[in-house]
Formats: sequence, C-alpha cells, structure tokens
Amino acid sequence: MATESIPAPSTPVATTARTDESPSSESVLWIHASQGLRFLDIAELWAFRELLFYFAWRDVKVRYKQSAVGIAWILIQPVAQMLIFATIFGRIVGLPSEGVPYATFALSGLAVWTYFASTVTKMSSSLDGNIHLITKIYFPRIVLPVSVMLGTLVDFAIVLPIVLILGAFAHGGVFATWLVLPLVMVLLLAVTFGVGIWLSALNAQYRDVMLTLPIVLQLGFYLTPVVLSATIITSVVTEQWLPLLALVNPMLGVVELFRWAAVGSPPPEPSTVVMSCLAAAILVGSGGIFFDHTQRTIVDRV
Amino acid sequence: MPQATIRTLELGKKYEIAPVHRNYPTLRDQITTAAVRPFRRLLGSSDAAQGLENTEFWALQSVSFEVQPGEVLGVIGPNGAGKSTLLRLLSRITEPTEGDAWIRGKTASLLELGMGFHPELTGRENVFLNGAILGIPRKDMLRRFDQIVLYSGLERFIDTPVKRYSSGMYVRLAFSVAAQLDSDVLIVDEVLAVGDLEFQAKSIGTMEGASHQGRTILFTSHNMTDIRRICHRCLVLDRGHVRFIGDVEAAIDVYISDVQPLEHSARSEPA
Repeated sequence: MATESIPAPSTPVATTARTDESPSSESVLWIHASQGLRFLDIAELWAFRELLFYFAWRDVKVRYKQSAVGIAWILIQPVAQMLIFATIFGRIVGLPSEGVPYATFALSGLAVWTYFASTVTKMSSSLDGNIHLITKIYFPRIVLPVSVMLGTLVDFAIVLPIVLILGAFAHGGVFATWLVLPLVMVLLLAVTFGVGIWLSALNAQYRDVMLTLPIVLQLGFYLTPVVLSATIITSVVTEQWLPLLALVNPMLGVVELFRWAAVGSPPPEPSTVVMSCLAAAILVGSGGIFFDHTQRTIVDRV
Repeated sequence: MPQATIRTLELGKKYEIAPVHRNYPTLRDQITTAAVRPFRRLLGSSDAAQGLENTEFWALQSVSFEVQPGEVLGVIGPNGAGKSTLLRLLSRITEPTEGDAWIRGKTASLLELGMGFHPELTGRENVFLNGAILGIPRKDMLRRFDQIVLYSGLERFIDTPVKRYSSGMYVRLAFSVAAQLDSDVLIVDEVLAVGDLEFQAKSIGTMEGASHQGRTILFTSHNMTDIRRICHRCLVLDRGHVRFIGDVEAAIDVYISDVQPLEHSARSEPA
C-alpha cells in the first residue's frame, strides 16, 4: 500500500487552545492530568444525587431479595445480638450498665456500633466491588462509598425507634436529650464517612485493608463502650488516657453521646466529646483529600 | 470556522506494569521498596539493575486529532493499539498522563451495554438503575419507560429478575435503555458486536439515525462494513500512536496493509 502514514492534523498551539477555552467554558469539558491536592467536589456529588440514591436503593433491595422474611432481618439481627449480650454479660456476668437496664444499655451501643462497623466494612470494598462499573463509565467515585452509608442508614433507622422505646421505658417517659440526637447523628456520619473513604481508597490498591479490618473492628468493639461500660474501659485504660483513646477511636465519644441522648445514661466527659469531634474533623478532611487524589486514576490500580 | 467538538492535543497515557512477582503490591512491599530505594544508589545498584526496567508502558502517546460537529469518526486498529485507552480517557474513566482533550457539549459514553445490571433485580428495576448510571435523569426515564419496554419487546418479562433472561433478552433490554441517550456527543466502544445479526443491524441503524440527527460520534469497531456505513472519517491507531487520520477507505487500506503480513505469518503456522 502506498498510503503514507500521515501525522496528526495541524492543531492550534497549546496556548491558544487554553485561552479560547475559558470564555464559553460552561459546556466544554477539559480532560487533563490534574495537579495538586484538593478536597472532594461536593457540588459534583450533589449533581449525581440520583445515582447515589439508586445505588443505595439497589444495595437495600438486593440484600433481602429471595429471603422469606425480607426486611424483617434488619430487626432480627440486632435484637438477637442484644438478647445474647444481655444474657451473657447482663445476667450471667452481671456487668454494670450505667443506670439503665443492661438490655437497653447493650442495644443502644450495638445500634451505633453496628452501623459504624458494617458501613465501613462495606465502604472498604465499594470501589473494587464495582470494578466492572468504574472501568466502563464515569461518575464521581465518591458516589459508591457514600451510597453504602445511605443504604445502611435504613437499617439504623429501623433499630432507632426500638432504642428510644427502651429508653423511654427505663426513665418512664420522653426526655429532652432526644433533641440532641440529630447532632449526634452528624458526628456518627462524619466518623463513618472519614474512616470509610480512607478504607475504600486504600483497599482499592491494597487488599490487606479488607483482611485486617475484621481484627481491628473486633478490637474496637471492646475499646468502645458497646457492651462494656466506660467504667470498665477506664479501669483498664487509666482515666487520664481516656481523651487520647477517644482521639484514636472517635467511636468512643459517639457511642457515649448517643447513649446519653437516646436512653438517658450519664453524659460523657466533655474532653472525650471534644476529642471525638477533633478526630472526626481530621478524618473527614484528610480522607476527602486522599480519596479525591486517588479517584482520578483509581481504575488503573484496582 | 466552527470549533471542533472533540479536540485532543498530544494526549498520552502511561501505565506502570508491575514486575511479574509483584502483580498485587501489598502495603508491606510498598513500604519496604520505598525504604530500600534511597540506599540502592549508595549500594551502586540502580532501579534498572533491580529488574525494574521496562515497567512503563505507553498505551497512548502524542495523540492529536479533531472531530468536527456532526462528524462520525471511526477509530480502528489492531488489538492493543490504544483504542480502548483513548475512549477511556475521553470518557473520563481515568486521567491522561500528559496532554489535553476538550469536548464541547453534553457527552455520553457507551463502553458496555447493561452497565450495573444486577441479576437479582427485575428488568424494570434494572432499566431505572442503568438509566441512572448512564446519566439519564429520572424524570426522563419515567416518561420514556414504556417506549423502552416496547423497543425491547420484553413486556411480558419486565418484572422477572434478569438472571432468568436469555443473553439475547438481556442485550435487547440493555440496548433499549442505551438508545435513549440523547447527548450531543456519543463515545461508543465495540458494544454493538454483541448479540445476533438482527440485533447488530438494529443497533447500527440506531447509530446511523443518531448521526443523521447531527450528533457527533466517536466509534470503534473491528467490523469494516459498519465503519464504512456510518463513519465520515477514520483514525487508525497503532501501538499507541496515530498511524493515519482521514478518508475512510484510505484508513481501512492502511489498517489492512499493516495487518496482512501478520496474518500471512500466522497462516503459515500449523493450526
């Protein structure tokens, strides 16, 4: 064949291309290697909210398909856990429960901890678990881990009324601290988001994360007053180390705050709460930057 | 002169190929490698001496071209030429290593049919999920749902989980959703190669229709009949570089003349 290989067509100089690009840029997409660190694009996440909703809906829907009792499983799991812990730790061992019945104490802790633990576990595999999608189409990758948070929030929303009813029973009525619950939820979601996006970005590249996580969560379960009251934890970790523990494990403050607000156990130390908030802020800030940096070329490394 | 709808300038994509024994680098490996690296030079051995040479691979390099409004550009070339990488970059699935690209107008990519289809979900549920993944707003999906089902011919099975579908049914449903894409720019990988002849004819007809509506299309295929039928110009890629761009017939000639010697040597091997 005589056809000569013809080089690329004459193209305008790079500089003009860049300048004529800016004036009418609202419908022009510029594809290039992005530089520097920045936080996640929240506006873009909002623009993809329908997809976020669909992924969350898919997760919930698929989880209980072809199961006879369906959505009732959401209730069966934490209530069964509560009964097991109430029998072993409450009845047999007779552990302290901060002024409320042990079952109430355990369920309020389990509700929050289970949300955190199961959500970050699912978030950690949300990128590599959707590899067939992220290699085939663009959407902000953050949609995947965030949709997991929404999906598991359904479970939490079903357990929450039971916790509140048990709390009302323990105190013979409704109480004012319930008004603080939305703020506690913000803190819970912030900690979950921060930890979860760190894990999902890391796990996409190093599967070690997924393998280590169950062990870390098991340890966290006992370093958080879920079934062991804070008095037991402080008898092991002396009191002055508690703020440091709350910084390393922000769920400590979250669980204590939630239990105080939902079932009226004694309020946590202010230093614990401050440390948990500080840890949440650090996790969200650093996680948002790390995830954004990773997501640009994540499909090359999954 | 109207501005190009798609323009790429010196676009390049480099991949790091991990040495065979370290296909999945663990965190520990990364840490030890990073810790040892500064001392290698002191010990007089470079990265190359450690067998780390040739761990770079340019899937695409110095790719510059333009696609004018309403034009259908075919991208052809042998496997491994960089067609998919180019489409991935233009679809924003991953970022280029160097260079720039600009796309004017609303863009949709179709690199696979039935993206996000979940076997446990019904046809109806998957239609909405798939529409959301393709970026079609929910209100549009609600409006067009009946049309999608009609187009797929699967009215009776729309509430059956797709795990019970035949592969033909699956593809028909997926394509019916994809046919709803009404963006100005379409980036289409070889998705139409699936399905039987009737399906392929239908899908290529849909692409032709989109082209007649004045949409700009970037399309890859190994089927030269399809390329001839719908493309206005062709880009031939070879080992990551632009081999040729221009007239469709000339491009196909370039591609075929490059391939023939290979085919010949392949034929001389015992089957």
